[in-house]
Amino acid sequence: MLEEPVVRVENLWFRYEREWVLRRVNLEVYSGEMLALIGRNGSGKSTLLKLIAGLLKPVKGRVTVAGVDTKRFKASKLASLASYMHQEPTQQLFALSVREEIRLGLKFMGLSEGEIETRLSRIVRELALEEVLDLNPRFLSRGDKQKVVLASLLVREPKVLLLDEPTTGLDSKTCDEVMRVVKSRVRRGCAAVIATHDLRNVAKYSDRVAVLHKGSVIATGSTTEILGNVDLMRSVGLSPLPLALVACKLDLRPVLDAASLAEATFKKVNCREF
Amino acid sequence: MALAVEVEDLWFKYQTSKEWVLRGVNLKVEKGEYVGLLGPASAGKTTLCMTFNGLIPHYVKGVFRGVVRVFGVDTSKVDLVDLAKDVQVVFQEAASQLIMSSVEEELVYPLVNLRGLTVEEARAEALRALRELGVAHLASRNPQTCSGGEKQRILLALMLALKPKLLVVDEATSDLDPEISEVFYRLSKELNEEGTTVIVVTQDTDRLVEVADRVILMERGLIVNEGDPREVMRRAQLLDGIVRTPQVVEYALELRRLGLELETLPLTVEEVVELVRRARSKGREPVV
Repeated sequence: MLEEPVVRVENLWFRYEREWVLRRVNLEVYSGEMLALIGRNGSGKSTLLKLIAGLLKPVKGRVTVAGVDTKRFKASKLASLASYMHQEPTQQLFALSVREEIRLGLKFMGLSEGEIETRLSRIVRELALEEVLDLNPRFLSRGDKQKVVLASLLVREPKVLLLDEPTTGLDSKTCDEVMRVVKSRVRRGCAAVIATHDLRNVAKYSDRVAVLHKGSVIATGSTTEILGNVDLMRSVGLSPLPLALVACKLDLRPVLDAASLAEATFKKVNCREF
Repeated sequence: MALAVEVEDLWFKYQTSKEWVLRGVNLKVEKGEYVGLLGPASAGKTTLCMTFNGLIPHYVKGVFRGVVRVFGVDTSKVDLVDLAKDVQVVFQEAASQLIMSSVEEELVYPLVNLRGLTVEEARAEALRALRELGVAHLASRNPQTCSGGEKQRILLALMLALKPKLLVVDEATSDLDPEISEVFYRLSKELNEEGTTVIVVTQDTDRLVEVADRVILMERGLIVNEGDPREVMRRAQLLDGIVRTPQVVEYALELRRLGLELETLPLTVEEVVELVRRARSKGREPVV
């Protein structure tokens, strides 16, 4: 990729108290890509997302979003560049109705009433929120809460989406609904960074993966390269996907979708190589 | 065979809900079974689980019709505390289920009160369980200062140490590291082999099918399908969107579609690898 990265993390160190939580992290994210951050609980995924959002500031090193050093601006100023979704959706719901919740961020941006209404109706349709529009978001199901938070981020049309475990606790249908909407924004040029332990989701939607281990990025690569590397996954305490294990045991090139792996297997069986 | 759970024509709606959440559920779970309960959000899975320990209808009010018997006892007619000796349910929101001032006490008191251990025995047992779930270092912490994933581990440690006759785990592995989630499935299977009946609600079908004796699918307040995991997963393909088909099953069904004969529908990586090695493609004679 020749273009400039939209997120650039350079030699980043961070700690809350005495111990370093992130050590010498370097990472670049480009417009139009979905990057998954994977690693065990406590590996630093959420902290890294908060640093990119400007909610935390580097102790050492630098984070820039669209050329803007996050140290120079308050998180609220950065929010229209990089929008962050908390792991627990209730933390981000304030208004008494879904409609007001979504409008809130737009009002802060100082948009005209006409523009606010246009954006509102577009996102409501996209995420199928029509039926809950006048309800209190705090009393919705977990899936609907996630969708409302996502809607309130997306209407601001940020350059970077930072999502912390956006699909935890969602059923497969809602999970796909959420991911498809994010993916469509990525296709239109937004960058998305997603911290998750749902590796099936990563395999299905992410373009690239960065592996965090004890506060350092120890590997980055294409989704297939990383998730298909059974030894790497095990070495950082993650369970490889079943398909990656199958490919490894049958000595096939790692492929992460069932149909393609089946085809490769079928060819090999026909050549009587097993 | 004796029944652990028997649900007869169960209907329920919450005081606040307009529609029935459970709409005539019939279910029998035998003692010693390991059952997976699957389905989309709002299918009624959590509501059903709340009837097993009597939370519904004793504590959560609404319109309740039908009968739920656990180990032969009608749960609507028995004291909740008596039920707690035999039945333990863990829900997704771990935070609201932790109430003591230290993690160790959280385990020690129930072990003394429900399992009848001495305080010394309970301490040893508590530490062992916390260690297995990788949270022994939190023993003296206030549970409210622990992270979401840690709280879930503490609760699961408690449940496994209590060794109830019926253990119900409702989406309580969703915030866990994959590795710890594997530990949970292994430990719950061991407990099951010692006689505990286990019911697990999860979206993680990949792991569930490896341990479950039976899988039950719920949708819109009804049980829509149930049976041996292999049977249900074969049909799950038709019930797209209700559950995530396990990757191994997806792969095996693709192999079949291409014409590769597999003797059974595999559920684990080991099974499918073994079957592929043995397989011969349809319509071709083996080379002599």
